[in-house]
Amino acid sequence: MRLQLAASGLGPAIGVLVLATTLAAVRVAHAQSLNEHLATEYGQYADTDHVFVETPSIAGTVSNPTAGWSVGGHYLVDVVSAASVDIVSTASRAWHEVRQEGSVEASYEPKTFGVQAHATVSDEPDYLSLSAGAAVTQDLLDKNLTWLLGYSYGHDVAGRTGTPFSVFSHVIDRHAMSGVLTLVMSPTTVGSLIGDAIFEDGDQSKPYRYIPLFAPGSSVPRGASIDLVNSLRASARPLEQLPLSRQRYGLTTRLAHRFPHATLRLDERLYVDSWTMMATTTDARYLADLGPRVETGPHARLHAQTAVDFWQLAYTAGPGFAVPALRTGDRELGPLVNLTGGWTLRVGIGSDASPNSWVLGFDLNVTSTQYLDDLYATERTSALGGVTLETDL
Amino acid sequence: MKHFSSCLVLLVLLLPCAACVRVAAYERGSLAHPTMATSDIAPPSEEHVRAVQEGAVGGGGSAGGGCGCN
Repeated sequence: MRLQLAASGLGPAIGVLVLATTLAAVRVAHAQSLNEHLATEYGQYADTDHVFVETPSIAGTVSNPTAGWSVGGHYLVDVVSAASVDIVSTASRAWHEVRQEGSVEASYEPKTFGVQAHATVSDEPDYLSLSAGAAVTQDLLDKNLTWLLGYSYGHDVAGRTGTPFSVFSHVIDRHAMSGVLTLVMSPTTVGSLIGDAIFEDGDQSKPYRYIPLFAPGSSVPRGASIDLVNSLRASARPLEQLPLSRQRYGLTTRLAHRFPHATLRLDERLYVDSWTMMATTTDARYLADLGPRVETGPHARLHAQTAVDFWQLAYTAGPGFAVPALRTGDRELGPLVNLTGGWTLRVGIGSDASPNSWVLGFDLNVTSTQYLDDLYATERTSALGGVTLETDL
Repeated sequence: MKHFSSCLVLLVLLLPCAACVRVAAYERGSLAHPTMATSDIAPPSEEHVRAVQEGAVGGGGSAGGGCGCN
């Protein structure tokens, strides 16, 4: 969504709420000698499509493992600057946005049966997203098998920057159900099976995204430049129009194995939705211990997806210049392949008695995206770097 | 749907593993390592970038917006 560097009143309120909750929890923790975990991250993203994002975030958790409860929260800010080809092609200027997101969460599992709850608010000048959910979980077979069933409801309001929601807005409602089965497979291996079903209702079309239309029979090559598209397209450019509902289904298997001095994690996600997009995502991490203070290793991720059923490289006008009922220029709805390679380094900087009471982390991931059937772009390279600082008080 | 069928078969195969292998609490030192968490261990910024760059979003309660697109 297009955004401006203008915080609405809700953003600071999110930060104050999360900060107050965290401080209150820390005070309780000090009084009761509980476990406290604080983490902060500063992430930076840049890509060859001239999009830059800075993301500072902070998170905290207070827990009492003996009593079985924990409370926590996080707060982050996205500062985005973009002059991507999509923006340039609509003769728009480069723009900036600030998004703020805060969440609180709690869980209580005194014995084998537990409950969890969370609430999240995301706010930016033209988009407000609220969600809340709850889950129940139970440990079986001496905690060798755990199941979880969860439900969350999301309510999004999408508008245009500078226009009140009361004048123009789209409402998107989201119902998400998830089921998780976690199996302890050996003293060093744990596996999980995670199923998600998400039902979205509402118009998710971007109010800034104009779709070029071409005469029937026009030959528009993949990756066509802005100038070529402008020379071939019709003068009228309708706004994007997506279907008014979407049902998404995902199934993820996760395996984690602990070697004597290293951990291997493997994820495989399969996805399909009612717009007929199908996708597979494979994620692998290897983290090796280099002594008591240092942990490091590579990360790899491969994501491949098909296009939604109304995807077209070049939409053509029908008789009488009829506009296709469904149309999009969102290349994340087209066929693509993402290949990511990265590296993680975590260094314990605590005292000799407890070297990992403070941990400084560095993550760098580089992603190469191949757009297989798109205007303007055939590939993009992006880099995401992050510095984290974590402590257990 | 073929892939989903395969995963369901995998689930059926994994369930007996839990029934047969009982790992006692005192044997779980390795499982308590932070890198063995059953949740995703990616930092927040990485999760958000994935949600934007991959059209296939899978659950998770992450609130929307902020995609850096127009």
